[in-house]
Amino acid sequence: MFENKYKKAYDAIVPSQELVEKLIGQARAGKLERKKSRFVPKAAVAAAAVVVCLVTAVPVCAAHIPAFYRIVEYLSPALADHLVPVEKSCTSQGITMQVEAINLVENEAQIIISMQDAQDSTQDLIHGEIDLFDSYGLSDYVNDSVVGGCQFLTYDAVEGKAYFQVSVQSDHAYEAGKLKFWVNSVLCDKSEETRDVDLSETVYSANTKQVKPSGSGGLISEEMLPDSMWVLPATDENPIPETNVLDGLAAANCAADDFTVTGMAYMEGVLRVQICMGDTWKSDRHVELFLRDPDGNERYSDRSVSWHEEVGETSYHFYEFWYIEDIEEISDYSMYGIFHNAGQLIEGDWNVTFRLESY
Amino acid sequence: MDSMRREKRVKKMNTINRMKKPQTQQTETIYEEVIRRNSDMVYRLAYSLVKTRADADDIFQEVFLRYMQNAPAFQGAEHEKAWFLRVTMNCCKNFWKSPWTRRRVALEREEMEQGGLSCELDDDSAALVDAVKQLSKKYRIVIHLFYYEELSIEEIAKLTNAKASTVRTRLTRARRQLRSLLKEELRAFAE
Repeated sequence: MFENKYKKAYDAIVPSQELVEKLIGQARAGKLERKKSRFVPKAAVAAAAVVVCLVTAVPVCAAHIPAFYRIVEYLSPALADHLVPVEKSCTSQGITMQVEAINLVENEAQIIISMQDAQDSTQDLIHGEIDLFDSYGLSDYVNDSVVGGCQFLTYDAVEGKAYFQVSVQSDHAYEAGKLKFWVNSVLCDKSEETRDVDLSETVYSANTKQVKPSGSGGLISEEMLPDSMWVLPATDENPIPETNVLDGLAAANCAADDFTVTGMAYMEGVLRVQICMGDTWKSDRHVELFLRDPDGNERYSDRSVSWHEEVGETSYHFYEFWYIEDIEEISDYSMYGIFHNAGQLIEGDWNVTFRLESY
Repeated sequence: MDSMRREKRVKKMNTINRMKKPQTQQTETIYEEVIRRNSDMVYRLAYSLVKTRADADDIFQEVFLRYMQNAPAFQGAEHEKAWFLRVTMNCCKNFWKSPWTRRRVALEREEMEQGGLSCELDDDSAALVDAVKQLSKKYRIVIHLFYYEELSIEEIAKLTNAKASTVRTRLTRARRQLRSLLKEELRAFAE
């Protein structure tokens, strides 16, 4: 009879002993973990360049809904609706990368990937926020991505996975079919610490030097700065533009693996704070500095500039942050920074090839 | 700036909720007994509805998580059984609702064809389970509750918030579909 056949078939379908014992173990211990993912807000002090975060409580009810999906659903419902699962992985250097899902439209793609310690690995590299160090790309074997951005989504301690949303753009539309996504570097053990920066060392007159900036930017245009702080245009003798910065502590006296405040001055109505990040080639060390005025208002720098100074084989990375402020008493002001650091750069060869039927 | 080339970051703070600690050793024993008593039933229903071991594992854990967090006081064996069956079905419904799950269906089909996730059964049982998997969700529910859990039409109706006549109709249609799927195997069943 069908009933007997049905019972016989489903009698064989039982949970694994391991699963049951795990559940009972949790019941005996008197605790059952249900994770809540929360995003911590940071003050959005500037539109263009500062990190903005969201706060929410997003209960992850069951592992069958991947942790990243809830977060993407919250941050970008439209993207969540168009994500196509991929779930292909590869392992290198004891870390497994999995391409979880993709949304591909013309020449742009949003890819959700995860990183975790490989199953047979004895290392503990992935246990929190990590960074892909801009070493990723997407190719359809004809077009390669030319620009991109990466956003760390979450670390799911249950799965042991760190999730990212990678956005890439190519010059031409991607061809549906065979695609390859790769990552070459992973920065592990990221940390951040909020520390005060002592403004009592601020001087009112300081020597400056000219450097070749590796980057500059800010909310205000250069024209709002004193003339002496404008970028010096390239000339025949000096083909690379230069800028004036404080002639502070020399690179040789700075820490290679930590932050060093190298100068602080208030001149021509601009507070200038110079910090050396050490050797950032393999660390992504950086800081967000906030000035607090007498009324308690906090703000990010109006403009900043960065450059490198070589000492032997070490390249020291400097930043100078500029705040246009009418300061009568520097003691009425305070400053703090969110110092970002990382422990270990792992270089590997993670690449996943997958097929996309159509998009 | 080098630091500006990166897009917005999200800082995660995890908080962990602990369920109510059992006040006594007796409570822990009760939890263990309830889990052992109902684990097979919950798992089988979950598997029949979500069709893969991986997803059934997740549903299974979610059901007992809810049990240990709510700690319902059962009024008897029937009440306990009904509670677990209902919660299992509710967890499965949440699972089906997710757009992510719907889009994974295609991926699962590929894996099932490769034999990656199917259970190891004898040929006849495997054929029957595969045939049941091809039924729609509402048919799989009534088939399993009627033939495995041996619930009456009225009990199934109460559990699924449907009319008894609806349950009878679904059962009839499910049998018809299974018959055509299983062909010879079901000839005896039809007679």
